[in-house]
Amino acid sequence: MSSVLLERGRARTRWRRWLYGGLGAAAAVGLLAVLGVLIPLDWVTTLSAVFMYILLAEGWNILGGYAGYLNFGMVTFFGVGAYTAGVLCTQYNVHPLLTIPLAGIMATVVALLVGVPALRLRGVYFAILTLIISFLTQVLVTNLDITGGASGIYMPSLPFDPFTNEQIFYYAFLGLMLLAVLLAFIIEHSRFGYALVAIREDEDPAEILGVRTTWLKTQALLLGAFLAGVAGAIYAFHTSYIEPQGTFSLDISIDVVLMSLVGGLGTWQGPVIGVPLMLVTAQVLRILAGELPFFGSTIPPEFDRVVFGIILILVALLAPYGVMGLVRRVRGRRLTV
Amino acid sequence: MAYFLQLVFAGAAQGCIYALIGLGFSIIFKASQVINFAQGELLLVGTYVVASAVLNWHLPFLLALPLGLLVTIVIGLLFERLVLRRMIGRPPFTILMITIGLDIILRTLVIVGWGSRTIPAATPFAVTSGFNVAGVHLGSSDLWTIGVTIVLCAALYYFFRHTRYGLAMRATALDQEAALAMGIDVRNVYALAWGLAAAITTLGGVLLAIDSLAIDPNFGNAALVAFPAIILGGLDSVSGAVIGGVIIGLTSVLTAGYESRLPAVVGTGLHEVTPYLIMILILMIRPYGLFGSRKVERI
Repeated sequence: MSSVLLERGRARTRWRRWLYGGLGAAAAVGLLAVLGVLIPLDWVTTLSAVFMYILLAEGWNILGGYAGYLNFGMVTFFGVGAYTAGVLCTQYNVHPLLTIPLAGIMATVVALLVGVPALRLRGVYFAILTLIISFLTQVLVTNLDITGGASGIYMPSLPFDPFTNEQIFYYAFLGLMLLAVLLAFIIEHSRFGYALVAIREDEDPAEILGVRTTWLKTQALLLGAFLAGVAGAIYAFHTSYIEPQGTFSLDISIDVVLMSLVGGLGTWQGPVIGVPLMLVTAQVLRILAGELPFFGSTIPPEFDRVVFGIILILVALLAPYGVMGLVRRVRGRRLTV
Repeated sequence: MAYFLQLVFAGAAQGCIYALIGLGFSIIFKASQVINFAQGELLLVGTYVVASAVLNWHLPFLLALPLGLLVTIVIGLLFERLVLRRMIGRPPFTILMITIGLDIILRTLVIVGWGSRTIPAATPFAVTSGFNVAGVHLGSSDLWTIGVTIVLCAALYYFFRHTRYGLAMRATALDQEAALAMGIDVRNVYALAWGLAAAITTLGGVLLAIDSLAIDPNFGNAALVAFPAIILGGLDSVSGAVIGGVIIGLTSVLTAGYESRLPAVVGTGLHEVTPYLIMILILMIRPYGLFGSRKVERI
């Protein structure tokens, strides 16, 4: 009798948790949707960048966070996406909207070519290989003819005024980011997600217990690459000019990992917390940099990256599982007492 | 034939530089199983300090060099003492990212301190100095590079075989707990590894800067070219780093010398990627390298 009551009570708490969670999420989405029309233009741009990095970080998180493979190659898929959109749009007159899914597919194909050999490696070897592959892709794109070499590609601009333009990209990145976060949420609570975590904890026993490690790791990489490719394509239309140094910058790969780590690896909330934390800090510093005195002169704009480095070191020292690790510790304490 | 010998000489000199930078990686990795991604930026700071000391403060090169080494050794020791020592036992993933944090900080400080434009490198030689033997020009900077590397390798050999601290380092690399039980202070070993690695890498960087005449904030990417060398030699093999470095240097320079005779499709720019192609090949068939210890690697 009591067990039935207990069961009913438990179901009710679970239902209530889902209700609150859903309401909270709906409120946040609604707020972000309204913000797109309310806030000044430079903050619309900053938030677009935040959404784009969340998209990239959620994509990275599938293999990097859940399965524990330190992938420094996200910028390769991002850049391939951007250049696919650029080349198709300017040289083959493909409709811009059509180039976006094609960019995702192209990035996935590249991920398959790179990933199948790379995923045979583990640990530092995987990290080094993906880092070197990013570097090599940059060299390749600089030297190819079809990509316009070092001079890059000028993208066609949309037929709107600058403000509407920014808003269109704001909502495009917002929508895609929501899909990516939803995808991460679903993966985290699926057999696929649990299998990836098993790979992270100990790969060989996982394989012995029947987890098809190679296939699952490949799937995780391809999913992430698709998201990065789509993000790259929209980025290309947004910045309206792409060139190898910036689009394939290793900093992008490193920032994606860094922001996910600060938020909390292997949690769907990690990127959602880590990315705004870092990017908004950087933006605020950039605004302050114009005003604050610094040894007699003003703080140079590059200084925000020093803060990135310091935040990374502090988080790794004090909160090894990121902000989400702290949240879980507090919540765990409350529930167990 | 003279052309071939000239290339071999240049390749050996370049290989010695890769070897020095690679030694920095493998000494730290062997001691503490950490790949130090900030290695390139330690080298960057070192070369900038040496260049400033010579060009702005008008110190003689032989005084500027120890100053540069000292600065990077201090950075390496401080980082090891204040940050890494608290990270012992944490997942390698996090430790690796923390070295990237140091990398970002150092690179940005260089940009903030010196600006992002290119500055001339400090050099004790005139560009054309050196002498000819049988039609081969032996430049003094290349001769010095090879000489310094040989002397340094001999010193390291002696250090690791016959001194207390060298033996302590090897014992720790072999079995950390057993070394602790025998009374070796493992913390000192880590500090020593970081100091040594910082100094050797900076030396490599300064020699590379003499070769390339100018430096800019991207100079730290030189550490990327050391990856093929250490992967080829085996990440945890100190002698492997040297042999790998020389092989990669020779291959790279020989490809550069002969690529114009290849069909145009593979021609120009091939020498930039050959080291990495060798590295990828080695990773596919023998990830632990030529001299590394064979074990399953995972994070």
